[in-house]
Amino acid sequence: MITEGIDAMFRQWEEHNKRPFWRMVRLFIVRIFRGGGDSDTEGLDLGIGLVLTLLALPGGFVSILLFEKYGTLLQWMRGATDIDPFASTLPDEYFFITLSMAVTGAVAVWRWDAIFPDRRDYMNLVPLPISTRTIFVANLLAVLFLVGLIAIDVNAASSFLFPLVVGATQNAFLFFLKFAAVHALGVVLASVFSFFAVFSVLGVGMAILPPRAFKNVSPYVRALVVIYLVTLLSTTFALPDFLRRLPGSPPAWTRLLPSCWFLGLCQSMRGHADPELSALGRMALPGFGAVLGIAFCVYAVGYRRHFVRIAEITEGRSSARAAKKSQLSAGVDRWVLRTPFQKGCFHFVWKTLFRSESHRLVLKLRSGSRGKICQTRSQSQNQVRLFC
Amino acid sequence: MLEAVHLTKRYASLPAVQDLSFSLRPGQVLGCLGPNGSGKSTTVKMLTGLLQPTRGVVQFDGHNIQDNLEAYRKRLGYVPEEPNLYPYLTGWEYLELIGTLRGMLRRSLEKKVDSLLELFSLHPQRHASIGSYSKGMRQRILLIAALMDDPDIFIFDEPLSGLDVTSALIFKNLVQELGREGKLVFYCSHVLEVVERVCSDVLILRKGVVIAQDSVENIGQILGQSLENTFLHLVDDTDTMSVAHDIVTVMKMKAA
Repeated sequence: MITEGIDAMFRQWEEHNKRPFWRMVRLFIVRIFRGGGDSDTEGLDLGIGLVLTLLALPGGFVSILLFEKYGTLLQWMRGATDIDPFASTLPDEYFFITLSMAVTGAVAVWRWDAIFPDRRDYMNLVPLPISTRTIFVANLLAVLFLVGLIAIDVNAASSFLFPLVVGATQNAFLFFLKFAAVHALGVVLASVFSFFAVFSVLGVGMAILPPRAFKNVSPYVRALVVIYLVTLLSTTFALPDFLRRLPGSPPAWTRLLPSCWFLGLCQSMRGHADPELSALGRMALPGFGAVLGIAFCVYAVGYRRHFVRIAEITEGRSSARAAKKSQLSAGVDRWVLRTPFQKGCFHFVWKTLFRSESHRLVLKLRSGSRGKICQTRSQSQNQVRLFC
Repeated sequence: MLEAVHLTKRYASLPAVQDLSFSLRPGQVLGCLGPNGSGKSTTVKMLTGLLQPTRGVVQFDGHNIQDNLEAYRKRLGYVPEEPNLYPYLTGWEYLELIGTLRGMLRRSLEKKVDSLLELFSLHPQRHASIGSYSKGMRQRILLIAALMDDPDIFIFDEPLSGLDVTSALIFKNLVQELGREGKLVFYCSHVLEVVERVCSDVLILRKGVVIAQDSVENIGQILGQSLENTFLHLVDDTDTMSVAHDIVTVMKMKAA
């Protein structure tokens, strides 16, 4: 009886999947993970499974490390028997919020080229008997599915493990459930916010700039977004303690950090927020709604400006930029590299490392995060103590 | 009948196609010739509805195609110049996707895809990703995608690029067969011999303007020359023999 029911459901799902609209949604989902850009082979194709695993890893690892901090035996050995779970989890809660924002934002930056339908989609789908409005809705659904999937994937491990280690100190299952629900809601909202915030920033550029100008500017905007995300992540070393010790209302700059809004929201939902955090928390939902609205508007405008008119836009890099690059290359060849072997090796390695937008972004992210870690470590050992 | 009525397309202020008119009857294979930048691709894009003309209309059976593009495209099979396919899909998956999006019935879709893959010698590679296909194989996938829903109108934009000799021969016969079946075929190409062999009529464009339009025989008879010589006479003033000679001279030049 049960197997028949499952079989029927499976068949129904298969049928549903074969309908043209849902087939297109599926195509866009796969395209967002595996496609993007106009090249056939240059992309950094890691496969959907590996990407999801890599995204889930940081949250899982950090949650496991927290067993050391919240382990009851270790706390007893340290003599810390009377701990306020809401106050002591504040830095960790903040860390998970910023981590989820940074990872999801980075995904939005990385997959930006694949989020919007491109020339390939245009050439394959538009000559078919499908309206451009249907393509618009199908791609929008695929983007929403992707955001939901990434938000859940990035936060899945921490939403279970972090409340588990904190709940172990309280011996109350209801505490665990409440803590987990609030934490999951906070980090998932922060993830979705971050994705659509990055989407809005890039989308505004797409909506107001001519296609070729946007193509030239986009890598720099994305690099700035990556720097912002790394900076946001590095605030986890100092900001929670700063907020906790703050007398009076928080300074205006904390209102510019959406991670503080979501921390305030979590603490408010738990009923343990001081007035300063509550004030920040009240900004979370309006901010979330605003970002969602802006993202939808820029998506619609960008789609109309870039996709519907793709046939009228000529391809190719501007000759001025190409000339500038070749001048730079000639300069390196003349002044730095001496033998033909050196020149050949240098150009091969350079072109291999920077062969696609994805590769360039990964390198920027890596160098940016390394730089930030070095700076933070050299600044002060005291700040590291706060985290511990 | 497919009709282009006073089609004009301008990019900013630059005219790509000017006042182009022709009609395409069932069974007619109309070849479109012209040098680079003559407006062939722009014409093809307007005929497929990808581009809106600045002025003029494209009519199918007396109706402006822009009024109901979806219904028109259901009856259109289009092979673009560049096989810009999804490299992460397999050949079979791509054709299944196109068939599904064209609203083909599942059973007939699978049967047709299998048969066409077999006929185009792609069946053994049907489960390999398109990223691993050669240009000719991708072109064959595009041909299958255009043929499989049995459309009434075919628009081919340089369909022979990358095809091997056997596939090219099959394709030439296929175009003639489609004409005999009463399909409307618009065939854009640089290859004059192919146009001469497969097309019943020819349209010659230069700088976006039609400079000759008639049956292949008539065009040749008017000037008493082959289509190749007629094309050169009408379109290009270049002395191809002397240019070829100059190229060899430059090639042989020794460094001082």
